[in-house]
Amino acid sequence: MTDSPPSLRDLVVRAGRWTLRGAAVGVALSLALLVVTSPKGATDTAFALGALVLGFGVFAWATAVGLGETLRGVQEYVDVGSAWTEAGAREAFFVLTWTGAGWAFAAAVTAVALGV
Amino acid sequence: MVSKRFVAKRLLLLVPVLFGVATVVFAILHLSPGDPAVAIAGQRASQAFVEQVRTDLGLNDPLWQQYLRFLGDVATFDFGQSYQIQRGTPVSQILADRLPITIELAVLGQLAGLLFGLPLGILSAVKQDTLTDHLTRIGALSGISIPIYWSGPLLILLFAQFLGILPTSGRIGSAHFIDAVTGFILVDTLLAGDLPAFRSAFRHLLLPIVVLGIYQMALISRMMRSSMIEVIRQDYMRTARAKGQGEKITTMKHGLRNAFIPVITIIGIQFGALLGGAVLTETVFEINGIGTLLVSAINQSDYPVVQATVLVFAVMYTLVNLLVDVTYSVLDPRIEQ
Repeated sequence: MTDSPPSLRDLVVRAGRWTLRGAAVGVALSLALLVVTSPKGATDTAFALGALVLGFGVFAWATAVGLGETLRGVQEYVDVGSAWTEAGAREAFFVLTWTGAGWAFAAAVTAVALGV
Repeated sequence: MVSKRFVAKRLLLLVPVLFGVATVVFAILHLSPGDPAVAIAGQRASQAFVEQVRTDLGLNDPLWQQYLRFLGDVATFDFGQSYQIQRGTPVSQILADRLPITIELAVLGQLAGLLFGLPLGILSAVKQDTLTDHLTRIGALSGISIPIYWSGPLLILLFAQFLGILPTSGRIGSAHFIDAVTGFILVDTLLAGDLPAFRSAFRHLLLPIVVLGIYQMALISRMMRSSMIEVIRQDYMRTARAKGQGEKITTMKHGLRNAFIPVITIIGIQFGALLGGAVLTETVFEINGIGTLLVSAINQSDYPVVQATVLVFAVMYTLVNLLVDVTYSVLDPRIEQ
């Protein structure tokens, strides 16, 4: 974790990297599920799982931004010695958000490619 | 004074929160077992009819298309029509009918918690390590430990079955007919000028409020006690006392405002638990709020109702936390920085 906030270019590069990783998961999962179910079932399940990761990431990121300082204050107040920080939470949910986005998008593209 | 920029920034966060919640709910509903088409058509319906229903609802489209359609509808606040609960009725209308019931219950539960929790917490702190303090702490610990699904039926047994002084369920006696103006039963009975109906509504609400309020009261009194004890030891409190200010005035004027800040934070964070408690309370006391609506909608695979109800819960939670932040920044202006 650096002290200065990351530049826009850094953010875009990192978002792109995690989107690509998510897309790889989305395609791999869609194809793997073809073994046990129909093309629609496989791509729908892969898409729903990707959307779940995306939704959780966005929701938790927004919560960390909105309530992060409050949670840190409560943590200090009740004297809980955890290493949780708002910046760390934002970083983690940034990764989840872009992975989920890539995953869901790739599942949708796979569905189109399979003619679903 | 709270700046507009601060409030606008917090309101803007509603957009990603709602997008995230909508996406999670959509994904979970489509991953969970249960077919709304079968629920609508009936278990004995022919496969052809079930397929027809599925096509009519757009459930045969690829999931990503359904998702984009759903996001478009949410963006325009169009939650569609109920599949099962009130078939064909717009979900927004169902929510408008039920939402005031839950809000009334949650607000009264919170008020009951504050009304009893704050004085008990202050009393416990001021009389630290006395019998009063010990009794209050035992009461608070019990209140936090008792789950609603246990305390609810227990209170029904005691006050309705054995003592017979309070009703077991519903919102108002069957002899009273009140037109819903605001949807808040206590307000509506007062607006109608019907005092017997008001008394009946109040008696019906008493047990659910107590059940919801017990947990809030316990939590608030515990937080208030520890916060107040910390504030009482501060130098400025000692200075106020040394200047000859009475103990009560020092505690209420200088202590309460500072001790209240962490309590306010907890109230906001705990509002989610209060809403969850409202779902359980409504189920136990057969109150037709959005809590029971959500449970029925999940059981009947009524996707539009589930999605809209969860989104309403998310909006309520976010707005309450915004209100908490605004109150927080009024009490401690440094928070805006």
